[in-house]
Amino acid sequence: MADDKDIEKQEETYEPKNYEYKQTEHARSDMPLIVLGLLVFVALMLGATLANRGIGKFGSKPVLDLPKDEKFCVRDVKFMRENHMKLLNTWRDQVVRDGVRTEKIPRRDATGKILKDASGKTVYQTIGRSLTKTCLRCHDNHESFCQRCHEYTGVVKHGGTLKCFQCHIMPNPKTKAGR
Amino acid sequence: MLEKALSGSKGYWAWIFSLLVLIGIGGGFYLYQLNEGLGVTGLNRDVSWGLYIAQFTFLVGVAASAVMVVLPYYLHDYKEFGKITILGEFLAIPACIMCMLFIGVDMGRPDRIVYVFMHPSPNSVMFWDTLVLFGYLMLNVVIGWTMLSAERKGVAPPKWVKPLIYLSIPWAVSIHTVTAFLYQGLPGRGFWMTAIMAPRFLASAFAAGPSFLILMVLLVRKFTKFDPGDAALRKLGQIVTYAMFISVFFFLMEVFTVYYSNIPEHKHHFSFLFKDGPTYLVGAMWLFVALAVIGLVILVNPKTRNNITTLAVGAGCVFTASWLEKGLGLVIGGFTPNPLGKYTVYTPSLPEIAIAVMVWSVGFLILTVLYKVATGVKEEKAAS
Amino acid sequence: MDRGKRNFLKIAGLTGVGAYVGLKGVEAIGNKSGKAAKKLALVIDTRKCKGDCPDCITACHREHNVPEKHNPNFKPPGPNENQGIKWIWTSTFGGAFGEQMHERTGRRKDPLLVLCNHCADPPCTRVCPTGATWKRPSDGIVTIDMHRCIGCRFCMAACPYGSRSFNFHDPRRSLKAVKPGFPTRTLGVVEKCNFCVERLAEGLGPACVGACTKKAMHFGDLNDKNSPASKALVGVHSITRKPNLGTGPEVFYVL
Repeated sequence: MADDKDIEKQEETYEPKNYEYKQTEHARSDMPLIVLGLLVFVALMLGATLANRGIGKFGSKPVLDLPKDEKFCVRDVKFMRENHMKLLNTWRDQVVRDGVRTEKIPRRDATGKILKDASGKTVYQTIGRSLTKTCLRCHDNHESFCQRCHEYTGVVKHGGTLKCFQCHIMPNPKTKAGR
Repeated sequence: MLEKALSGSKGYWAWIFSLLVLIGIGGGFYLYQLNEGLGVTGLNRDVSWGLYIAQFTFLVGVAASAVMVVLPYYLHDYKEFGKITILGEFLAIPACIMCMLFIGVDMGRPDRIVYVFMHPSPNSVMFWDTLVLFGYLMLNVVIGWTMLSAERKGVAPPKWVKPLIYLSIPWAVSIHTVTAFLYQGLPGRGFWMTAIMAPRFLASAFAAGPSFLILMVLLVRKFTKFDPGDAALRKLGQIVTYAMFISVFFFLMEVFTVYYSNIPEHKHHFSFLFKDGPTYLVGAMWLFVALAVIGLVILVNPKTRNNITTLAVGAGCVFTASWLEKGLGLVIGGFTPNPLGKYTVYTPSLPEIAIAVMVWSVGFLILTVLYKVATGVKEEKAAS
Repeated sequence: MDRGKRNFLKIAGLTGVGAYVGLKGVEAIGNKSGKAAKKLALVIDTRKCKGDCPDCITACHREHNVPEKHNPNFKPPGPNENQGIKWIWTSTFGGAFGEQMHERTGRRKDPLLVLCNHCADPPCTRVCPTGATWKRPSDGIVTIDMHRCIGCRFCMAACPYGSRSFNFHDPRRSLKAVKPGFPTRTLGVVEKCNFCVERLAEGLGPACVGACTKKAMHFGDLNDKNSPASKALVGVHSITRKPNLGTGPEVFYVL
């Protein structure tokens, strides 16, 4: 019968219509793109390492030039090692934004012990919250102090300058300040 | 869906490659600018904003203009725009990205951009502009990609897209209003301090954006099998006509206010732009006038508006005219003469132009990729 | 109480709270001027200052490491010269007071000192997107935090007086000598007169006022009627720049 033949014909020529992905005309390998991507990745990763070559020998600690006259800083060494940037940022905001330019810290003797007066109360001194006028008065060469640790830890690239000193000037500008 | 952009004709790859070359060259100039400072541009103490910010201002308008296809389709059920809403949204995305890139290359300290978010300043219009521009970019990315994915899979889009689409309509108006507020709230700049600045911005945006869309649709027709149809193009033509008419009308309002009141200080900006300024600028401004007139003549006449070829010419005239007026005249004219009455001439320098070309190329690259994806999906649906 | 009245009260209450919050918000979104405990001002006596000696300008620029003129050994890569920095300079009467000139004004071309006006209601601080510039509540000085400035130059566009400069180049390439006590600035930030805030903290007056040999400049707190600035404004005719804009400049010119 005509109907049966039509159905047969349909079944013979049946093609699935709604498959998800169409075959592209040229079967193209993605390998070149993958390799290119990997090369870009390796270049980026290696780049950072190569840019920092030449910083300190593995295992050697940086040697810092310490101030000759003053034996004690505005805070103790442990605090400074961990928090000097926090202190500087706090001072910056307090001076520039709040207008409070000085603070009181305890006076210490040569061994670092806090001085007390006759009645046992702590003796205070007023210092300026100033990178240039307080910190740099003693640490007067940022290249042989600040720079050494920062370079060793990779905060500053080899031969570069800490951003602070692009603006802040050493009291005795015999060092390379900025460019 | 991005794999659609990874296969194409030789012409497609040649276009991509040329864009990458322009980006590379501009990138080199940008490194030069980062090193030496913004002094390598033609900017100076008096004209402190120039080509970069002008491009940003113009492109915010182009980004906002996606609303001109979204609004008729979603709010008024204008079916003919159904096929091109995605093209409008996928135009808004690179436009927004270009805006952000132009701000980025203009900043003195781009490494400090996060401070805008770390120290929010609600008193600053620029803070709000950053937020609304970023929000609009996210809206278009989410809406565009979701709608296109749904179309590809042959299913209805998820319900939550609808409110986002409705949100994008006033949001589009807001991004350009806020950008206009950057200018119109400054007490010392008489050229900009006019209440009509935001309406002018919107009108010229709704003329320039859809004009560009018309040209893009024609390119899409030429290079792909996707054809949104002549009806959509003609409707866009109508929208551009009304918007351009209003934009020119607003400009003439400015001219009347300045010249009938005869206040010297206000006239000086106009006479600088149209008479006393450097040749390139005066030429650009009169070209704007000529192209605006020619464009309007073509578009107002229904015969030339409905003929697709002349429509394209008209759209090109309108787009170029809007770019000249907003992308060159507005910013430079506002700064000259300076607050002390001096005329300091600003001419964009070569590095500046190369960097601007780089940002435009990035935009075109993103636009190409997105359009390739969209048309690829539409072709795939049509074939199956 | 019936439904209608309850709903009305709810809506009225919410509206009241909303309006209060909204108004407070608008106030916050307004400018950041705040209320100044001191109102520092500068008075320039144009009867004594003829703008013909550069003492105040030199003193200011030296004190603050302002690279006003390019070092001849540094050729700026940009195409034009108007990229320099100036905190205080001379314009003309016609330039600064254009709206007050008429055809018989004899002083139109006479030099006049101009600088940041440290306005009472500064448009520049209103537009800063990072809070890098603000008017200090304690003394009214409009100051810039160089650590915060992103160099967007919106403040330069907003200033109606053209008082702000931008570092188009690294200033250290143009500076011949450097005063260690005051930091230089970097590439890409905006700067302007700071009313010598660092000198005021040490009890000194502004550098320009100190350097003036003609006794033409007076500085002080206008809230104190015995300050030099207050006294200099008594019994004389003085004007400010563009008063119609409502910025409230604190730099006064005695005519």
